[in-house]
Amino acid sequence: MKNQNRVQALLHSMGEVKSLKKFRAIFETIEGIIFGNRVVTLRAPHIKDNIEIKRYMSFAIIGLMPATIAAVYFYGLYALAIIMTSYVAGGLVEVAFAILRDREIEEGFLVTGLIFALVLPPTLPLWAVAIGSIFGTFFGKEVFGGTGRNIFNPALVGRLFITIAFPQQMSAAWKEPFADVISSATPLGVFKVSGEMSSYMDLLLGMHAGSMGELFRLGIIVGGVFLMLSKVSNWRIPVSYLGTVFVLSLIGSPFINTIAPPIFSLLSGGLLFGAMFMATDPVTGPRTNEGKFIFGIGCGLMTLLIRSFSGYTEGVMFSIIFMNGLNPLIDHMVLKSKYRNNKL
Amino acid sequence: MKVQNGKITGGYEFKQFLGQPESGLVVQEAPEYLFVPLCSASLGIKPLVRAGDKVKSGQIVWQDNDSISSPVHSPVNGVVKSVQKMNYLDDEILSLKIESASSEGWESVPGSGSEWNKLGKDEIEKILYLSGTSALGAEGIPTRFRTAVISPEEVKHIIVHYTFAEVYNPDISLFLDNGGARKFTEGLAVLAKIMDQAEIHIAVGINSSTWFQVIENALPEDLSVEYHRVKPKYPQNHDSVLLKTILNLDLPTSYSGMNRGVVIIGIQDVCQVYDAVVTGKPLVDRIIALGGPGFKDHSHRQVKIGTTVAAIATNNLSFDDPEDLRFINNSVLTGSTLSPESPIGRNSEVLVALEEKRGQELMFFARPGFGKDSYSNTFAAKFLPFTRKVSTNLNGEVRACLSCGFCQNVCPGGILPNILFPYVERKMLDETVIQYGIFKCIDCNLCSYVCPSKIPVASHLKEGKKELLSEAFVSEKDFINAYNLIGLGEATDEESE
Ligand code: SF4
Ligand code: SF4
Repeated sequence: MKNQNRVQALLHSMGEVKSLKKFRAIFETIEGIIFGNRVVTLRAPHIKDNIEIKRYMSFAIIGLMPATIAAVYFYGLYALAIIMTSYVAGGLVEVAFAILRDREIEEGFLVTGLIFALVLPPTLPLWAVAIGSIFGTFFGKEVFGGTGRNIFNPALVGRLFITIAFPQQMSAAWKEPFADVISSATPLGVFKVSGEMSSYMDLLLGMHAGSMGELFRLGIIVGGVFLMLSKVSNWRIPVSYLGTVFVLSLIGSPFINTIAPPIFSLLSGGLLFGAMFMATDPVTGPRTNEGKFIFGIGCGLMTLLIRSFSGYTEGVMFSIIFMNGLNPLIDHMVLKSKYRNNKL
Repeated sequence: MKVQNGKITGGYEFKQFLGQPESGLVVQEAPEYLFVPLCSASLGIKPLVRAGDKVKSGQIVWQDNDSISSPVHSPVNGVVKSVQKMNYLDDEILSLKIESASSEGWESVPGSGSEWNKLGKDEIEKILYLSGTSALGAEGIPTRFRTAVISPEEVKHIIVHYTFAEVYNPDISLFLDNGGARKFTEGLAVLAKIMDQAEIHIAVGINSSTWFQVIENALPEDLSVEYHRVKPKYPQNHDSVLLKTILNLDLPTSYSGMNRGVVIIGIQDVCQVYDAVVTGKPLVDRIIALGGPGFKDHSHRQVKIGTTVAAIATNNLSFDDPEDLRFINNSVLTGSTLSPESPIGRNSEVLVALEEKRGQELMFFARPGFGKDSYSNTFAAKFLPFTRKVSTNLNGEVRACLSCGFCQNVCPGGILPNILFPYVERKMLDETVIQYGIFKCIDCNLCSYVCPSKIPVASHLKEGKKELLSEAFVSEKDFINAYNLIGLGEATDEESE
């Protein structure tokens, strides 16, 4: 207890030293992480729920753990290096902005930094990882004013940027787990070209090429359900997103051969990862419950359309980022119709 | 006996919080000095006694026939020390400092007796008025003496509730056990007689609904009562939610049930009605439940009105330094903070003592949370039968809104607090916010409780409503017309309580 007070006092006084004053936000962040806060309520409600943003974000990380561990298991230390690079590069931007704004570092970064790494191909050069992470954090989040104010999912902004900026590096970076050879054939790509499908077991366990975090689908399902049960993510989005893809491909696949059968549709590509961890980002999702359903259905529809009728093999990321942009409109329409008869 | 089940939109069940009131009852001696609240200082009505006057227990010391009020009594035999202003329940009030000589007995209210059934309505109402009993219930009991904003004839429903909705609730058995149920039902009969147009409803939280049978068995034959089993979820005890679940009536924002012809009253209040009419006892004491880990002993206390918090807390605190504690009147979610010098008033029911926790907890967010309450399912306490710790700590840092949606899922008004509060913050108040239902907010503060970003959502909405009213986007008249409210307008201009 005594030591705790001493460390705390040290952190606190360091923030007050003149030459270090600029970094006050950083010291406060560290203090906040280690010790929690000393502020009490001023008036009713006199008590507050124990959930706070650090717990909330920690749970999002726990939900991502099965996918992360699988990525490291599949691709070894290089996967770890990608994750670290993503954190460090994006983290620098975060710290810079925290100092600039004299506000504590925002916890949301711990989640976006990890998600960004997990949607990358497993052999992407680290410099590209760094650029993507910096770009995503800067243009996806900080220019809007930080976590809670951004419109687009920052991880997706970064990912989209490097897809466009470094197409060569991106397309040459796919690899099957444990394999040495580079292969560009993801199950979705194979299906698109030849109509052949990988076995469901392989898809569930991730025995094929793909972005490093999207492979171990069993773990993604477990992590995603865990998040929904803990109320950290809202069930409405994954359920409507996956449900739409399932139903549309059930109806469409017998008639149109570019539409994959329902189970394959669900288990291939980045759909599960995207639906469980990216579409559910509360900040960039719709705020009304009805809007969440519309958002999920829209994502599902777009994903299926892009996969089946465009030159691209995968459409999850583009769908989510596109629907992110529509959210204000969706919410507006929901509110207007929900309260159309309300006068007082 | 027919029991209906009540539904609530949203809401949250506060379970297993540390320091629950226990069922025992201790009769507390009157302390040396009492501070009896009289009226709001702005009303400025002088008491009937002066410093130096001798007073008897049950003697009327304050009365005003012009404002909506009920007389105030001296709770003890003693001497008036002074009339003073004090801050109490977020208002400046006039209070009477009385030095207590003895607390034996009381001056009985004239006209009372077990033969009350033979009395006329006017005589019963007079007893309720003269005994101060008509001050009970959140908005008073209507009589012909201007004790509430409506008259007894205008009352269509009486709801007696014991919903178990708060974090700390008094024990129902104290009032219904050992023949208490008879007194309670007779008190009900008295109320039914003066408000003869009214249907009587009893609403009890699910976990105490076995009391329905006890009440039914004690009920006089000519009295019929509707029973409602309600969820023990906060804020089921708020007027607006009670009206919706029990009568399917809408009531906006901070208006009271009285404005729709519904008297809402607690079980202890009904027992006092019996005491006043049958035994002639003026309103001189209250049974107070003690809640919260700040108290060592959680037995209920029967205290004289005007007893200070400090007098109740003496030798019963689990902290050495009272500075480390916060005392709260009635509700942890909506109640006012009480200083140790604050008195127990006529409408106090629960006294809560919480720790002002400014200390910190190492790596708090990574702990399993065996004793941590949360709306989310992120702490072990949700799945285990342990008691939950409680303090006034913010339990986290203020952040931007995450749009997590917790607030809209718990909101009993069925509105979207997270959509509304930014309008207030950015001062963009206009018809849109009204259309989105800001006036359906009933100030229950639950959204502020659950928010992971520790945003004072409810305070924002409250401020927004105030602004909208002051900028004349809406007026009281609009509410009166839209919801058929009664007891408002000119007649209540001088209303104070
Ligand atoms: S918006 Fe109003 S009614 Fe809804 S939870 Fe918040 S305080 Fe309660
Ligand atoms: S609970 Fe707080 S963080 Fe969550 S949506 Fe409501 S205001 Fe935003």
